Amino acid sequence: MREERHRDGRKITIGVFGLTSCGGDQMALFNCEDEFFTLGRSFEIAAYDLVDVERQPAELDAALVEGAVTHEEDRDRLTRIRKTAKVLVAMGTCAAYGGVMARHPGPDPSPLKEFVQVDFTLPGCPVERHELRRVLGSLVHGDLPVVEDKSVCFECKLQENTCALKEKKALCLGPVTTGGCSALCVNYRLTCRGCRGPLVDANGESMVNLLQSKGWPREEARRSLETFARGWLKLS
Amino acid sequence: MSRTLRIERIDRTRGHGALTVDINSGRDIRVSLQNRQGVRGFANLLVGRHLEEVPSLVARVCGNCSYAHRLAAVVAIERGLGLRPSRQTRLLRELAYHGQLIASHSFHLYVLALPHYLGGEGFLSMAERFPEHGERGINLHCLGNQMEEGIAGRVPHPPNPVPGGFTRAPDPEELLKLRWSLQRHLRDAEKTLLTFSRLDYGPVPGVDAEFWAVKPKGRSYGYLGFDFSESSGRTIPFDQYEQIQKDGRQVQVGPLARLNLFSSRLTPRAKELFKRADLKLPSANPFHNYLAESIELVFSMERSLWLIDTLLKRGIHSEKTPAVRPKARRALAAIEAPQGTLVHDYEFDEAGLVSKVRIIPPVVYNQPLVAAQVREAARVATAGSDEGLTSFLKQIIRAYDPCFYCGSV
Ligand code: SF4
Ligand code: SF4
Repeated sequence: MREERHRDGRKITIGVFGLTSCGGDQMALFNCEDEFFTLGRSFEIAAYDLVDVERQPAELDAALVEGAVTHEEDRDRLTRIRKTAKVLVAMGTCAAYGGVMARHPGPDPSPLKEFVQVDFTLPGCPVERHELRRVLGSLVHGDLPVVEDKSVCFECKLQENTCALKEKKALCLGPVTTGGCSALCVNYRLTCRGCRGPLVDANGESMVNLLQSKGWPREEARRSLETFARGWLKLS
Repeated sequence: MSRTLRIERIDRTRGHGALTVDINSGRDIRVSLQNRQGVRGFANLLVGRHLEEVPSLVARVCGNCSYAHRLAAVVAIERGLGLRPSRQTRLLRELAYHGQLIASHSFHLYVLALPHYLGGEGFLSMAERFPEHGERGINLHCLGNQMEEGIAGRVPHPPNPVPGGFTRAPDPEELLKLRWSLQRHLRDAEKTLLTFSRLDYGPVPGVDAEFWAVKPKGRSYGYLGFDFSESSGRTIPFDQYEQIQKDGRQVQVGPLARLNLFSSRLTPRAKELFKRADLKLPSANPFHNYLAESIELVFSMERSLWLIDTLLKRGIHSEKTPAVRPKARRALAAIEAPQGTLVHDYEFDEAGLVSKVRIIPPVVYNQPLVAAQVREAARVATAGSDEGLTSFLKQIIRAYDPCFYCGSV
């Protein structure tokens, strides 16, 4: 693979950081395995919390930030990262929507966008490797990928699964969840629990109504919508 | 002469841990090992939810050992409800487990640990200067992931298994592919032991440690069982998982503890390598953990080959998972995560709603021992520079592979 460089001949610098999280998205990036070496050659990885000593470069072309903000330290770190990065990507559902975390004493776990400007949102718990590659590929050319707005439902039909929601009245959030995972959980005979967060323009309340019509208590439907993405219901 | 060392990030451990050491005199040394990861509150999150939601949610505790958390929850629920998984399920679960262990150990060995000893700062620069080591690490990590993904569905946060079984069994072709990869990389695992046997870790003062692990089923080495074993030779039922902490004893869990307890049960190749290695047991030397991990890599690969052959011989059947009928029960299981004993303990009501949750990861069991080892090391090295001491203490902590993600459950 040829080395990717800026027009001025400089390598693209990226930083990978983790706030409150499970480390799974930083791991998913590392799991791009074979590409990882070529990645190292194409980009300068100036910081990478999971695999390197701590670094806070003064200037970055892009920062990939994993995790939600749950305490002062996260918040300070995020502000510092934002100041140094030209482009900030929220990597994973925790960073994008708050993720699998409970309210507990102290501030609520919050997505990055509540504190800083986020230039691109890459949802997923964990992020999909093919999407990570797409983002990195675009960054090299100085832009960001087009946001896709296919639902999990749409992808599930392509997989020719029987619809869990229609046929089994199961609690499935496929209709309002951002696709990109090829409906993984339904392929494994589970249901979609919304780990990739809300689809653009998704109407949470009407999803709750739909689930209620299938016999699910409203409270349970609401809670399941809010499991990975707090504030989902505020969207509608 | 008193001084304070403050390490704001113990780099190249999993998640964000910090260390403060107050040295007042040779005798008075205070160590505080802190988890700086924000807490996610899984217990609060789970209470009131249905037990069927639990495995997928607890997988999210850790991006490294999500499969171990998922499996611990599934096994706990099965024991609570009296569900018995089929033999095929048990074989597949174990196979995916070895995948996770191979990925986890190789990441610890090659990505987190080795770069320091080869004079580089991080994995990427090490891989550039020593491509042989970089590639070997990536090969093994990739192999482990391929196994976990092929059987459990995704890395991290796999959708399989579920209480009672697997939602979907892999194709025989998938198993044949894994078999081929395993054979191809067995040498990589063997060379790993050689690499880590030759490193110079420096002298470490001894500490008193007892070893503790889940006692593997049957006669083989392994990670699943029905009760605990400790170095005194006693067997302890799972529901006494808190005893060790209540007694304030210093225990070690993890690869070295398992090897200390069960080295006689290894597979032939792993046993042979172990005999040739310069490793006298019992040992609580933290750096011997690297040797134990290397031996476990070989064991897991040999055992996986056996599992695949057994599965192929039996034929892969598509099995229906039994319906889960909730009962008011306690659901408790312990398994060996790659870094050591992991306990999941739940209570459910008759509708299957969670009323109580406790999750104890290996990092919590090891905490008192790690602090004691750091204190001893600081005591003998007080004459050294801050920089030298900082680096050495970080190496010691790193050797235990503490996971601060798991610790911030
Ligand atoms: S989004 Fe999921 S994978 Fe990523 S840090 Fe959060 S819990 Fe982990
Ligand atoms: S099906 Fe739903 S829950 Fe499963 S991976 Fe896709 S978005 Fe996440």
